Amino acid sequence: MDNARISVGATARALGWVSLAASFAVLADDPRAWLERMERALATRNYQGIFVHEQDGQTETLRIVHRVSGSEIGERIASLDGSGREVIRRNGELTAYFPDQRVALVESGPKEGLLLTELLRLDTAGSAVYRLSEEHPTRISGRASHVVAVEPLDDLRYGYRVWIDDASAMPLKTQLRASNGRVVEQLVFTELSLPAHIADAALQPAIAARDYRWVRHAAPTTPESQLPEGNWEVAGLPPGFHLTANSTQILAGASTPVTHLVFSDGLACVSVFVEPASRQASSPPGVSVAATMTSVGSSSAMSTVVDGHKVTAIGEVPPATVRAIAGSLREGFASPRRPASGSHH
Amino acid sequence: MNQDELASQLSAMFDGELPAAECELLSRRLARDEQLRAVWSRYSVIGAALRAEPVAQVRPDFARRVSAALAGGSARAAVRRGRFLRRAALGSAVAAGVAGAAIMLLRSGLPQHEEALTAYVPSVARLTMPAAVVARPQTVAGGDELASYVVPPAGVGNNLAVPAVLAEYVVAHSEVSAPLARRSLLSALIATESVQPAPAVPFSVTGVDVAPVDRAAQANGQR
Repeated sequence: MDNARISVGATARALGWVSLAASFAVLADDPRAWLERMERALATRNYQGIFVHEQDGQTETLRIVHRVSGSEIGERIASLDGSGREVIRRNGELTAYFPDQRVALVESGPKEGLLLTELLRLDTAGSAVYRLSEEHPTRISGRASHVVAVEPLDDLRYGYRVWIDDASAMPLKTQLRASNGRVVEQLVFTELSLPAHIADAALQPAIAARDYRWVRHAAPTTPESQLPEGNWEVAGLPPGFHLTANSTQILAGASTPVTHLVFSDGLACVSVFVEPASRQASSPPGVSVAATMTSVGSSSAMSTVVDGHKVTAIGEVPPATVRAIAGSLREGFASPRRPASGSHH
Repeated sequence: MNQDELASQLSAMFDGELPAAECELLSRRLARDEQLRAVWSRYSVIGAALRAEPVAQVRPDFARRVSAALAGGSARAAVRRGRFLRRAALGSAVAAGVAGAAIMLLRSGLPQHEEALTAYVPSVARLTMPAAVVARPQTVAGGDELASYVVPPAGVGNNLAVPAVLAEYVVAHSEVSAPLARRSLLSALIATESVQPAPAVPFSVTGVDVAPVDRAAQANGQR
């Protein structure tokens, strides 16, 4: 069981992302080496193509353009299936266009460089909860590929099966699989090219969004006085998970900062956002009012109220894991309403 | 019909998965069940907020389907017709997520379900509910009886102008995810019909567990 103590404040905020640059074990064995090559290719290469996203028998065709120039990553993902929605990352900002609603959301990205350093983190912790193996090389879309399987050792997380292009190390096909082998989600490239240069035009939205309603994040700097107060403790995290990042940020459309905690098992990643409940739901101490689960693609999300705070957890793990992680959170000794329980002071 | 069945039926109807006959029955029940309608009203507001639309506008696809059901047509067939309508059905999966959650909160029998709902709602839409949610029929152009149950806009104010915050959580989380997961999340975000948490593709309500968190069990480690 992991026991971690989280203190929220300027120090934690400053240190927050640093821990994400977690070290990689030297990847000696072959499947690991292939995974690392793949992740590096995804993060560092120019590529563009069309992929099909399948989940629960439904498919969506999307176009992706990914450009790396120096430290800047430009990326555009657009739905080709009618809604015309797009997500574009440029200049450290991620903008989601929703032409069907004439809304554009703008989110400032993480600190420059995070996307490059934050690769697959199947580190020592991860090897205790996943099994890595390589299957017979095969061909996919006419190209020779290595097939790497990352299998979860319990049902608290999903595994991957990835068909990695021998020549480019790009994942031509990716399956997210439950521990029982069920394919939760599949992404398959139907077209893929790796151009040396990608023009700015390829990263422009297809739609004119000038008259959209633009929802931006508030000022990135938060006065110290507005930072969320209190200490948060986690006790009884699901096996393998540990806290890897803790930061405070303001989300688009919000006026108050949220604490963003990141938990990882070395591969899967769960974010927990904590903020004051905007409306006091008078939850009894120690008891959440109610929890609601939903899903976003293959990720599970949960929203609940803990000790008067709204807690939202989301991650590419089964619902039970998101629930367990959200439920492991509790306000620390600083809360006058209840004594510290479980964790140390 | 117990609340379980009701919840699953309503979800199925939102998903366009309910056979026309049952759709019609449920529609009628919705029309006469004040409690259920109140839930639907809340959903309407949430949906409007998510779509950043004026409150009086309603989901045309849902209205159409319900209309079809009430007229004795086959809603299911209508939904199955063509890509556009498939997309409409995907949009309704959003409805299923929100409304389904509302229904399940109801089902959980919390005496303060009003509170529970408002606790949930801000998490989706950062939306402050008016104290009294009134299921008041409003006539909307071309609308039908059910879809016209919306909350009066008074008192809701600017809160409606804010789209779904869960979308923001999704984006923020995607920034800390590994590349494969990030691509999946962003694909899901733009594959859905609404700026919402919603199941990207599935036709079913994936939210299943609304039991109050058992802190004791979690303290014990929950394997």
